[in-house]
Amino acid sequence: MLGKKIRKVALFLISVIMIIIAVLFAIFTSVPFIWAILSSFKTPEEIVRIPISFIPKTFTINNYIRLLMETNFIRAFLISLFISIATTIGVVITSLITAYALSKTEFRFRDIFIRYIIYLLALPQYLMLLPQFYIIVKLGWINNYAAIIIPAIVSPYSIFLLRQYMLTIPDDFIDAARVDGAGEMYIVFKIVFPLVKPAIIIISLWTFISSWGSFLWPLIVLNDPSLYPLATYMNTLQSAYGDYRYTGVVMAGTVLSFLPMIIITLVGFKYIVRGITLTALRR
Amino acid sequence: MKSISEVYLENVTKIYKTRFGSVKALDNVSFKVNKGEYFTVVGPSGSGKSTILKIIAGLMTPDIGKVYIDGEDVTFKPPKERNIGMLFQSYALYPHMTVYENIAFPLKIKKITREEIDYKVKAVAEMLRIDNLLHKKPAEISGGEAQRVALARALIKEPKVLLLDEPLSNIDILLRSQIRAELKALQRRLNITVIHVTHDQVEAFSLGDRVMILKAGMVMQIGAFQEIYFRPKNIFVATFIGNPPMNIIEGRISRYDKGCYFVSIDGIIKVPLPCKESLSKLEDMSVFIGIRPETINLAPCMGSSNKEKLAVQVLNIEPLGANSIVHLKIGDNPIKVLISMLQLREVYGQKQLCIEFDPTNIYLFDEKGNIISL
Repeated sequence: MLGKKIRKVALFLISVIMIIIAVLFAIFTSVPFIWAILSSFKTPEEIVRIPISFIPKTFTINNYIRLLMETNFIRAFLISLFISIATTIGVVITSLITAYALSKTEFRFRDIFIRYIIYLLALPQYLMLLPQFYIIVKLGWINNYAAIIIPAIVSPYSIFLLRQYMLTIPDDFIDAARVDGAGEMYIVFKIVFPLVKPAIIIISLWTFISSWGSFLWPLIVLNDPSLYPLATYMNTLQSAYGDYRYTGVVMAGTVLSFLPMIIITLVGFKYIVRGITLTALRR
Repeated sequence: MKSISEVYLENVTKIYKTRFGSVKALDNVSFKVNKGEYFTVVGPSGSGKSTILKIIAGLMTPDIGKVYIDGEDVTFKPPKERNIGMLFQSYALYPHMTVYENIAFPLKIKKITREEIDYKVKAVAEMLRIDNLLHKKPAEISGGEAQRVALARALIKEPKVLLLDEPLSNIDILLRSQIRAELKALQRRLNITVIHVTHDQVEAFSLGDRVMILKAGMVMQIGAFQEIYFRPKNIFVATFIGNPPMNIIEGRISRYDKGCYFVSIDGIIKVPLPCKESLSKLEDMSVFIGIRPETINLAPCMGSSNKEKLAVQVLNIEPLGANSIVHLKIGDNPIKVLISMLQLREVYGQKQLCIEFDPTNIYLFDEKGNIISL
């Protein structure tokens, strides 16, 4: 009896400690972000004033007006939107076709392909930076958005996730469509695509978010700052406007560049959670 | 040629490669299905039944052998060039399409005009009494309805051959006999060639004009019910057909008193056999006799003089309704007897029971299990 009570108390204490850790973690990660949002509404003087004020004393949207009027923020935003959408569509199409081939058709060396893709997952991305750069130079794609989009439209992770998802679709669906006279491409887009929609949504979200936030690769393959997508452009904004009087403008830009990600994450939240449990279960 | 065979498989062998080696799913299978015939394929799971359907449909190609449909070699043709309708065990209705879209799917691929599709879908839906379901999604309909929708999708392109893969296994037992009758009536009305795969012998014999029995990828026997029931080619077929299965007793052939007898290993069961040339070859070899449970006569022992009657020990009586299975033991040999309710009343409570074998209903098998004609 006593032992049971002690165990109960210990369990309670452990959960209290875990909740405290979680709350601290949440505070640590969100404070800079909240500070950025609040600062974007402050006057330049207030941002650098000591002691630090958290809530703006004089609320101003001047930073946003200056961001949109005086900088090339909108152009960079649209460039990012274009690159992210194109990359996402590309990833969805290539993953769909590849995953179908790797899960529902039989051909020579198929298992070797699958293993190769799993090895690719383990490869650090930065290892590819230099070889990829040489290829881009040879192709003459410097200062061309193809240099950003084309290497990104094949995603081993998406292929792997989608293949695992497709394995759970009964072969009967595909066999039935074949008997009914459908070609393989017709089956992929008219039968398989609707059946794997949850996985497609997860892949789209991941791809869009990572493409939207990509900073280093565009910096390497684009020499002309007027071509920069948002994340890279924001960096130039910061160095160009390093003066404290422009910190508020940079904060406003940061907040606006986060906006699409927040919207897309909220919309797709339930799918992202499903995706995490999905990979957790399948592995 | 009297009738053109609609489907003809010639020496088909299919090997599955697994991580642990290769398995012969089909081993030199040959058979012909005639035009307008209802042909059933029956066998235990893993006997290669579904593989046969997939090879006919073109979803798989045989490693050896040829497939002919309407006299044309289609061995390496893709499914869409074969004009075959197939009903899958899971029905495989596309969950994201309505019943209407599911049925229309094969025609939509053929790029037929919308008016014609609409006319045909409605006609086939009316024939199968599913016209009230057309706007529903597959998740909203019952198993029996889903089966008819899948059947409609298979029939709408007016196929040469209809393949049915375990079509009744997902149907409620009470509904099965009704759906069996409907399937058969439909096949007669449309005069379509049907190849129906099942693991259920009752289904196979009640529907099939002819039945093919498969075991481990090999054809055991092909024929109509009477032929297979009365002239099984081997022990497998003999015990596969009939419920309860045929009693098999191991023993030897021996000659005495100027007669030939089968004698069980323990020496207790003796069955007289006609002395034929074929028997003398088997003398002193291990053989089996088969006796169907429904041909054995079980009664209280009377007129004890009869030599051929054997005293038995009753282990258990299993009442099934109109009939009962009596589990007996004669010496070391377990025997099952099927008796009617009236016979059961006679037998009940009797201390001594005797059985008698009908000499015209005894089968003899050699040590490999193949039949020896008597």
